[in-house]
Amino acid sequence: MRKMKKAPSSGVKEQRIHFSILIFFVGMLFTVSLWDSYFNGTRPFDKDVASVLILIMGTLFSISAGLFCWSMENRRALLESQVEKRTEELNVKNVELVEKNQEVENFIHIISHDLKAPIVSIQGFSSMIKDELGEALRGNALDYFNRIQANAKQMNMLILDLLEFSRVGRVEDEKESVNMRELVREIVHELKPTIEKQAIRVAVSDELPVLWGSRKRIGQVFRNLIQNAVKYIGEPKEPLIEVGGSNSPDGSRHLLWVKDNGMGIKKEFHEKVFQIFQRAPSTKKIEGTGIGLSIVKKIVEHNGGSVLLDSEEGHGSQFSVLWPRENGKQSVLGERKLAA
Amino acid sequence: MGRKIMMVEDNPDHALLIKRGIEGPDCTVRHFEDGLEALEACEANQSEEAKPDLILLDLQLPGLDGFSIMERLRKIKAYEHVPIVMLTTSARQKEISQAYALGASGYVVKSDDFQMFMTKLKHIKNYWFQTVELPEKNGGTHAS
Repeated sequence: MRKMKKAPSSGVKEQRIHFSILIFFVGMLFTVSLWDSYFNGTRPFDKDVASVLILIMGTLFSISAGLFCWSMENRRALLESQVEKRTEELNVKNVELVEKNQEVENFIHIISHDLKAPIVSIQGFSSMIKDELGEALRGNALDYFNRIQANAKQMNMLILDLLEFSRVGRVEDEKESVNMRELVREIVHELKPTIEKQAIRVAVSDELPVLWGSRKRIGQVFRNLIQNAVKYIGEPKEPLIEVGGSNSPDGSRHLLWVKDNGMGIKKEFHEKVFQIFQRAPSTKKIEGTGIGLSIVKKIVEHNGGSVLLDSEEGHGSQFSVLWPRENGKQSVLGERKLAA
Repeated sequence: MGRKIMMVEDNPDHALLIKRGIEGPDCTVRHFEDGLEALEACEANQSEEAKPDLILLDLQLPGLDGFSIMERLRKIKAYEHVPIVMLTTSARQKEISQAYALGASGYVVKSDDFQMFMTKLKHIKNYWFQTVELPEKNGGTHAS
């Protein structure tokens, strides 16, 4: 740590300034009265006394000016040292925060490792028993086994999703220009087997913009939204998922949306689906952790954007993401409106 | 003669699962729960007979972690090119990079779907057993 200049306390300095001002005014008073008496011809002193008095005045002026400058210099030094001290304190706090963050990250990592290890064992041994018993495992026993495995899988997904949720906003990811046309196509390609299995038509617009942000996080947002659209498409006559983009009405942000003609969400659950572990009751039978949309919201809002939901039960859903332009004005965090 | 696999894994359940999953007529698995013990065994006997054809090394071990063990193993002349595959429940990018930087030949995440995990291990085993014909052959190629 840099050694700071030793500066007098602010109380002592105030006194010095007041003292120098006082001497200055006393000097002024004497000088003015002296001039006055000489101009008026009163001349209360003889020439020698006047010279001595002028000498005293001059000295008083010099002392007061010197004191004043000295005090001001000390005052500046004090202010500088205070700024330096505060900066130093902030730097220390900053280092502490970075260390704490690293500690939390390591703690979560260890916890996740310790939580995952038994799941690997459960999954492993249950599948070994299943292999060994083969045909002998049937009826209720087979059902119970499948449930054990499904639960272990669910637990694994929960841990992974919770880890991701905790990382958003805490761990800063490198930002870059992300071509959404390419990214959305990649995501759709990844989900191709499920999309084809359910005979869903996916229409991706050519007008998708280039976003500024972490490719990983933006990928998570749209992977979650498109995956959700696939998961909750239900059984419409012609299942369709559309991914589109344009500018926000005021032009300050990019607007991207994922729209489906699936089962939709009741108005009363529009707020809840973005909360962690909350899922619409109609979706309970569908595999999921209830964390996906919370991650979406957290990522988008952390980047100064907002997520909008427009949906009605039985009439599909549209999730819209407003993402700030690279040099655009950041939106108020936490803003979320329902699209008209 | 069958191939030899050395497995360093502190979790006895995982060790049993892996052993059951990959051990067969073509290979035997020697299990160490403690990393340091495994390291000392390698240092003590560097003969061709004792040297494993593949090492499965858990990353999170009490005491010396997988990275430190790998670093020290790579310093033993006889173990410079022995394929080492790291096993872990974590898939953090920086750890994967660190593992390869320290000389890992592969990296497998245990928490994936169990069947998938075993399939990957079997593929890795087959890959190295087909690739590493001579003990001194370059072990730098990565298993996927």
